[in-house]
Amino acid sequence: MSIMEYNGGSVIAMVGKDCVAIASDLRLGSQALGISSNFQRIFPVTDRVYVGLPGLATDVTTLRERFRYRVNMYTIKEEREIEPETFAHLVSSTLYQHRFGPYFIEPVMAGLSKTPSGGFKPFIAATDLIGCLNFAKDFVVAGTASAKLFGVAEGLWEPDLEAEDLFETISQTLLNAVDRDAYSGWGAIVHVITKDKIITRTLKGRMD
Amino acid sequence: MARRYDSRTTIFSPEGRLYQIEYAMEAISHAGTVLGVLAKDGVVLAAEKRVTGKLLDLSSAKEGGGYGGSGEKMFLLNSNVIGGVAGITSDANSLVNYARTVAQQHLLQYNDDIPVELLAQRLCDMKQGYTQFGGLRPFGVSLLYAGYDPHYHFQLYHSDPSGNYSGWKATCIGANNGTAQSLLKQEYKDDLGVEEAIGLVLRVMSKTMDSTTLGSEKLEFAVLTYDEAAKAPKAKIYKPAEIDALLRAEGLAKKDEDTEMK
Amino acid sequence: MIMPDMDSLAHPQERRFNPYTENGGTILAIAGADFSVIAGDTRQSEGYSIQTRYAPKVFRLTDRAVLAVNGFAADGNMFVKKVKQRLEWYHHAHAKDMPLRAIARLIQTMLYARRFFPYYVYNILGGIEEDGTGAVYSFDPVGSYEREACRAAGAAQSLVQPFLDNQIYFKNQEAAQGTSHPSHLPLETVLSIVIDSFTSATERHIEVGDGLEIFIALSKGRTLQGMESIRGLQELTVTEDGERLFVMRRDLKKD
Repeated sequence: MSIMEYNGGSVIAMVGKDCVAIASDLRLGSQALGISSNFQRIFPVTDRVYVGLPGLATDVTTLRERFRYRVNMYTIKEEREIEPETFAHLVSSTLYQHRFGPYFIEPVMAGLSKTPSGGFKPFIAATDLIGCLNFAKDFVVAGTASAKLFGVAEGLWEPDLEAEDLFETISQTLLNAVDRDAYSGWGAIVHVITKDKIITRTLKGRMD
Repeated sequence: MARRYDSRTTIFSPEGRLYQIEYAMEAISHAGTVLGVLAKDGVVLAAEKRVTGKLLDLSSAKEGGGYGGSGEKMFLLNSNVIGGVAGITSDANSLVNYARTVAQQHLLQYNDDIPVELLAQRLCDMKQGYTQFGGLRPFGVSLLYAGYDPHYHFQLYHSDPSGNYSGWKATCIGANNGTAQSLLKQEYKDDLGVEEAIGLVLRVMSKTMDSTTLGSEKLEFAVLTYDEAAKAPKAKIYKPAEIDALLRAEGLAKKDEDTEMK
Repeated sequence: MIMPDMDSLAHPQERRFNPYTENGGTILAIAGADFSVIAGDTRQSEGYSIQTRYAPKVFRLTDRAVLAVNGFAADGNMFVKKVKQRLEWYHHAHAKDMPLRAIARLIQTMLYARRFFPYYVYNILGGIEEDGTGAVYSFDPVGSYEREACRAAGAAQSLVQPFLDNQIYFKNQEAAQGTSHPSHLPLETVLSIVIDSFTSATERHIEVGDGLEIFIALSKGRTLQGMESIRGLQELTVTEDGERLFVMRRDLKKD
């Protein structure tokens, strides 16, 4: 039995044209037993950064609060909101502090970062459970359905998708991947982050 | 007589005094005034800035900064507490940093904002420690804490270098605090609304400060209220332009001839 | 003092020959209304080493049957050889090619015969049924089998199968008002889905790549319908006026 698969769950993030999306299933399990079909593992960090925490459920809660602590300290001292790149390094350093007794979480981040000209640039990243960063330009995946997510995303994703098309792409990728994973599923949630609004939608999925 | 007992914080004089602490209090009574008034629906803080001058770079206070203020006397300690400091700025920075850490640790541990009195208490525990253990001097800082928590609602606390703290309806630290306090005693009424409190604070401040006119270059201002929509306390530290606008609205802004005089 | 070697000699130690290995790669088959497509990559590996960049995993059995084998290559090759032998015997006895559904049942009995020392392979059989419909049969190593519309197996099964669920079965997709999803896709669409599946699997799986072989079985009377000019298409048909069989090859990334 792997600790990473004890509770199940998967997260994916994708880049679009001037937007990003992050999505997750809603299952919380105890190995084969389903416990909850409304377990949130994606959290807002700022108005323009979201983080998804697939892995051991107890660590989802703990890490989320640790990140809140560090982000609050950053915000109050810097007197500005944290940029997604900075947050990615904050996540990485937090996880690496526990290099030899890690949190069993592989975070996925998505956000829009400010450019010097005042615009916004899509940003996604993921790390392994000890904080090794992966700044992908297309999509990142993590969780018990990661192999399936990679396969479908590699087939469906294309560059410069508009917000609504990106929503459809990430939703189809997630739903079809988790349908082939016994540890993920039981509904899904999708957030699409654009420069002037965040679209959050809960998806119905197979409940088996 | 004092010479023999004032070099160490830990040693009592024969009269039972701790001279270092008294010196610290004395230092504070020369610092810029900080004034606080508790209203039924909010808390108001105002502070007199001493470090001014046309060469001082204030761009960060004017343009940047999510919370406003120049970072000299008003600090957001947590989402539910604003701190106003009087005394040695460097000591104050260290205390502010400590307060923020304590508040975040409480949030991490209990998933709730720290109660205002507990935050004051935690700072005072540290301040007291510096009056008792050898080789250290006390913090040369007094603080006002304007805060909100769900149990006691709005509160105003004061703490001094000895580690004493107490709750107030209206109080003042720093230069001319005696004058200000007697003015507050005369004018304070129970059941004060936050708008009236703002007026009271500004009026007392204008009478207390050494300079004849009030302006954003010499004043910091903050209000803590409760946001009914967000169901959370709302801390607002005014930006310079907002202070000037407020002074104009209250009829306390400097007159045109004053500007021409310069 | 006890020597370390003496210590280890004191206990009985078991040493065993492991008769199996995994040789990577992926296979895939999709059935159309009157055709069937069976494909596989050509990389053969053991652990992190590539043994060869061209080792076929998809084999012509008859003009209307193609078998793809994936798993332990030695078992796979031997199994295909034995199936071909049985098909030849059948031909001698009955003077005709064995029908597809009969080949499927034959494979099941051959696999189950080795229930306690199995061929370590996943089989996918594709071709044309007697009624002219395209068919895909998939097997587990001990003979459980099922007729399906599409199936992926092998190293990148987990990457490809959910993609196929979406693109072939239209899973999680709702047809627009007043329309319905087609139950069978045209050959051209199927071929591009197959190629996309393998390029995706090659991108993300180290055991998939090098080359791609796609077999196309056409029902009796059906033509290529304008796909004759497709690059590198080669006809393998032996008998006249029956089902037709084609193969096309594509390069996949070699890294």
